[in-house]
Amino acid sequence: MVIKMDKATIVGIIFAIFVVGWILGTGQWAYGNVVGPLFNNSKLPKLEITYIQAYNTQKGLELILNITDVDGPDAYPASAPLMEIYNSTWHIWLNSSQISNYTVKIIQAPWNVNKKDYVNWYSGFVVILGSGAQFQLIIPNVHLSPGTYYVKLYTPAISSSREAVAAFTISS
Amino acid sequence: MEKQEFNQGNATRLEYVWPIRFAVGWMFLDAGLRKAVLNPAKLNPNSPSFVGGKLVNFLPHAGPFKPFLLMVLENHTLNVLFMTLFSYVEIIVGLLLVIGLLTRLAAFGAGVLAVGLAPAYWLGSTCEDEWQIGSLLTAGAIVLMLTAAGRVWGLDYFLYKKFGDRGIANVPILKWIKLW
Repeated sequence: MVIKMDKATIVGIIFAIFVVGWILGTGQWAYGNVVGPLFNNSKLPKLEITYIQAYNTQKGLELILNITDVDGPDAYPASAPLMEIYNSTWHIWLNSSQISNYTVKIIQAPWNVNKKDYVNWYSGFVVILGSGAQFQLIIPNVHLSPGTYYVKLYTPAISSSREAVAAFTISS
Repeated sequence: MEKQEFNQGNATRLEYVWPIRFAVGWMFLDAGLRKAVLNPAKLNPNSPSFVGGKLVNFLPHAGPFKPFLLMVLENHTLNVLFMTLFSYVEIIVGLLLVIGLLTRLAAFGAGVLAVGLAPAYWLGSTCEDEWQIGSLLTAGAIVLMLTAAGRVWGLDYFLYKKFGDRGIANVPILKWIKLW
């Protein structure tokens, strides 16, 4: 049996396949809305610490953090008004005004454009969705003994498993 | 000219496609006018409203588009040029679709622009906003391109009457992209 199709039918089928493929493919990619599981990366903010380094200095602990905002709505930036530095036996909290006061330098990522990441007294670290920056802090009167420590950034309204955590080592 | 009946119900009359032509056209025209005319600060690289910064928001889940976005974002001149060009292409494509001039070429451009929104498809905190917009504009642009929707209630009526069917150029691929 020979099926004969006119040109319009062939063109129609080609574009129909493209449209169906595009809509289902991008829907699955963006939201998992074809075969699941459903997700929406645009709902809740999520900060990530992509680099961390720390040293004892005469003024205190110098902490260098690269922070980026990898999830959440684009309408407003993610913030971390509370920060914890800890190991199994010791910890210290820094509130938003301490984060702001102790931040001595911010280096913006090369892809940041007109909206810059920053710190302030009320929100602590503030990072625009998709942007990144290196925050350099000097925390006065803190000198850590050798060992491994963790930094945790607390972002309001998200679960503990989504909080940004990173480890650093003080060698001497 | 012999009247050609497209199907038994004769339901494929192009008058019925006009709402799609206007909707797709206006979406792009509005998007371009907003940036270039109604709020020019959006195309001013020194303004906090500069729309080039919006590309930064697409980065985290842009998938295969991420390297391109980073290249544009890390080259400020290219970013300004890209956003300016993109906005004016939106205006031209949108206007052509609304008035039905060079509709097939404009619809092809609209399809490319709609597919080009893909890096933002993941954004939509309350709904699947950007994906829905991009998908509908892609499908709408393809319908307009295939049906040559400007030949009725559009200026392509005159072009088609005078010149018949024309591709961009008489070479492979380009000859399949029709002007009107």
